[in-house]
Amino acid sequence: MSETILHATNLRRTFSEAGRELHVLRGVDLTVRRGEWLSILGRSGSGKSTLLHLIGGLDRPTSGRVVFNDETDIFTLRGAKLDRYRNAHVGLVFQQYHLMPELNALENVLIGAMLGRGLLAWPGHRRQARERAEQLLARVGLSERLTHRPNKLSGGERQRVAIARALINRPQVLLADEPTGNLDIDTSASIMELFHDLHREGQTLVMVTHDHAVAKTGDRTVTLSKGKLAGD
Amino acid sequence: MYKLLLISKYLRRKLAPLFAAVSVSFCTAMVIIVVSVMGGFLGLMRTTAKTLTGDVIVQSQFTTGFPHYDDLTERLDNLEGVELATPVVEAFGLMRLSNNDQVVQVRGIRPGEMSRIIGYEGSLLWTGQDYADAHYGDLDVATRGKIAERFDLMLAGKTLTQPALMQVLLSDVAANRLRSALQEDAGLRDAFRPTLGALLLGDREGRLSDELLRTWLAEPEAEELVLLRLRGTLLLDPGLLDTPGFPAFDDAAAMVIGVAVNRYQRRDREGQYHFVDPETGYINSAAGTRASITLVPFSPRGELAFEPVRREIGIANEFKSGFYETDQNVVYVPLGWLQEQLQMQRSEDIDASTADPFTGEGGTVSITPARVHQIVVKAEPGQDTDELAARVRRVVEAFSEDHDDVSSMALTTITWEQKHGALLGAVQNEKGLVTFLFAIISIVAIVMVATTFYMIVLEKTRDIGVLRAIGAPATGVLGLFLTYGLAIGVLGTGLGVWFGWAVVTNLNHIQDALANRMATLVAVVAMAFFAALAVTVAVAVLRRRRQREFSIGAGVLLFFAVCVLLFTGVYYGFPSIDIPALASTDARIGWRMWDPQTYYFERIPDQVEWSEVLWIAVGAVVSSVVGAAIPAIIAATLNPIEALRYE
Ligand SMILES: Nc1ncnc2c1ncn2[C@@H]1O[C@H](COP(=O)(O)OP(=O)(O)OP(=O)(O)O)[C@@H](O)[C@H]1O
Ligand SMILES: [Mg+2]
Repeated sequence: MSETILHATNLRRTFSEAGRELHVLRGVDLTVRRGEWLSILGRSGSGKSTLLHLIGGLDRPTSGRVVFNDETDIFTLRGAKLDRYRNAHVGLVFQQYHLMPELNALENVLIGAMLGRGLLAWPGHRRQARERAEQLLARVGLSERLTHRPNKLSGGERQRVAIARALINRPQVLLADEPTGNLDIDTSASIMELFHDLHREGQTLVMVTHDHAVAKTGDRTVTLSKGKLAGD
Repeated sequence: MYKLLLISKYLRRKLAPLFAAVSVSFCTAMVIIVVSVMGGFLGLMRTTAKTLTGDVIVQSQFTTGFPHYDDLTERLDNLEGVELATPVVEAFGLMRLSNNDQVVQVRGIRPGEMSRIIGYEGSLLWTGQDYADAHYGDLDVATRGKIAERFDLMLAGKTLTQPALMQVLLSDVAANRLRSALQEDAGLRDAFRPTLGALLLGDREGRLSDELLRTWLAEPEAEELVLLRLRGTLLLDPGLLDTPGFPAFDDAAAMVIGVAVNRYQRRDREGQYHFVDPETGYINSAAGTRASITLVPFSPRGELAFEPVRREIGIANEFKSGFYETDQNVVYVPLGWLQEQLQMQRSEDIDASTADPFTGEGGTVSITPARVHQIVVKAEPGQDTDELAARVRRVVEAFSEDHDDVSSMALTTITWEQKHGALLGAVQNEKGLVTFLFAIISIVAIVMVATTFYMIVLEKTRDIGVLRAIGAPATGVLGLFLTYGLAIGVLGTGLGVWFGWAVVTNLNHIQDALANRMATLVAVVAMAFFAALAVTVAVAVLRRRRQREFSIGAGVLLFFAVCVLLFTGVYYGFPSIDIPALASTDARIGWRMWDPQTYYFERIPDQVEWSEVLWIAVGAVVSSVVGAAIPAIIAATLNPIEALRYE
């Protein structure tokens, strides 16, 4: 298996808002190696989330490519393949968590597993998926909150549900957008602890932050500024 | 799998789908109610118009009518697809009833045959018992029963004749004939003596000797009193009619009048007619009285050759066709009687100029055959009217060729639709308007439903973004929300169909309740409301805040359910609810949405056409799904990140 898991070349993303062009990313090159913990540092509004969404396949760049596992550019993938990429190959933790309000913590985690399986295949996987979801939630310290709905959870708890959801399908890369951005120091520390554990188990991590101290916990830090990435 | 999970969650967790379902229900119910009632009226107009006239009418162009109608009737009777043909004479007459003059349409018919064509017997209102109870309420039940029996023959109106008892009671001529018969026939006097004696002297036997009776009968000064007592005797003992020696009365013609011809006949608030007005106690009905009719005969050449004739005639009964126009204008008399009055019967004329000048015999006899104005044809069931009319036309042509004195120009054949052209035209016209109204209502309903579903799915745009972000296929997400819309749509439509059906089929009961039990109804609905409110609050408190939305929703549903149950139960359960304190308020307030006094029909149409309901239901479900599909398609085809950004 190759060293490089994700390779972005010359990514550009331009938003046009009220007739004005906003060049957020102006040619970003990025390589993520298997098993590494990469921190992307940047000021607020520098385009970190934008970059992460592109890598996660949720948005389309104005130009540029993102190659996954040395295969094809994910933006040339069609329909089902792109869905599969989002569902199983990468796991994304949103800055605003984006949990589904009608589902409880356990269901929010499980839904990722359900998506990969049809109605008929699901019963066979149900137990296994449920066990894994419960394990993940236990791991993020939410064993007691399985049936809570998001509006009954604190911000940190939601963040952790979102992390568990991202991990349910054992993604090759975990993309985390400001995982500690809204949290107090203690909670941040416990989340970072979790990331350390995951990293030690071989999980590839890409973490976005505006905090130098947090960024330093990773193996490698790149800085996003003026639409370009600068290495460390 | 995630679809099922999410749909079940969506359906349970939010008020929005509940309101969407309720909105679909009400829209569906609204369209069903409007379509059923309006369509019902138009349908009723048509069926009534058809049953009033028979299917095909052969009519004379001229007021003089046409001869040899028996031949034509027979030919038409034998025509395939014809159930029955019957001749009719039609004329306008001036009728004087209770000092009221009015122009009526006099139709001379053969009642038995006519009955098979327009169900005329079934439209007769009164029985002999009604008459006996109203006019002789002071007599004992057994005597009233006997009188009723005597009157049944006439009031049944089947024969359009007046029996002997009726003639004696109503006409002085007949009563005087009885008087003379009594003077001459000792046996008859013997039969009359007991009852008459009791009436005159309070003594059943003995004192009213034959001697005394004869003197009394011959008293010239007391004619009026004598006739009155004789009538009373007959009423007390109708069996006397069968005594040997009782003068034989030929059956006299009688007429049956439309119930609204009699201007004193008033309907109650429900649109029902009563023989005796329940409020005032006055006798409303004209049945069993007499009226005079003035008719203008025409010569066979159509000249006003004769003096108008004025005839007294008994009113045998009143009919109610269900069609106010007819009930107000039409009176039925026996065919033969009307022919006679109008000089349309068979007659022989002797030309005096060709007769022997000395003996006055041997003149040329010219025979004028009897004439009628129309032949009414009833088609066999399933027979196409226009096709039948075409064949009838050919028969009529052949008929006029076979008779020299019938020109083919004189007869026209028309269908009931043509006969009622003006009325049906109005109905048709109205239908256009109604269709336009239906269209508007349907569009409003569709837009309402679609908007509601648009909103509930739009609210879920962010969820769609999340689902797409974690790898749900666009088609899957679309399917999810279409199913969601479909589920609510079907649920709401089902409820709406039931509700609409319940309202339409109970419309007359609901109207009765609104008109007569308004206060009670309001009280009961208010109680239901507060009960539902109490249950809701209790549930909300007991279950804490956790599911407040849900319990509010449940409360709303509960209230609707209770109200709907109340309305459907109006007929069965509601009348037994009795709150004495509200009785007087019930009597004072009340709202009648349909006043049968002013319309053709007494009852609001309360039939639901299921084929229409099917279309309405399909429309409701389709608009639900389409409404849901629009935002779902938009959201599912966006980049997930854009959907997530939706506020
Ligand atoms: N859809 C959009 N339309 C217009 N402008 C956008 C859009 N999305 C992002 N931007 C702009 O792009 C810039 C980068 O946004 P982005 O969310 O990537 O910043 P960020 O680095 O994640 O900031 P933060 O640290 O505050 O989360 C911002 O200035 C934002 O206004
Ligand atoms: Mg950001």
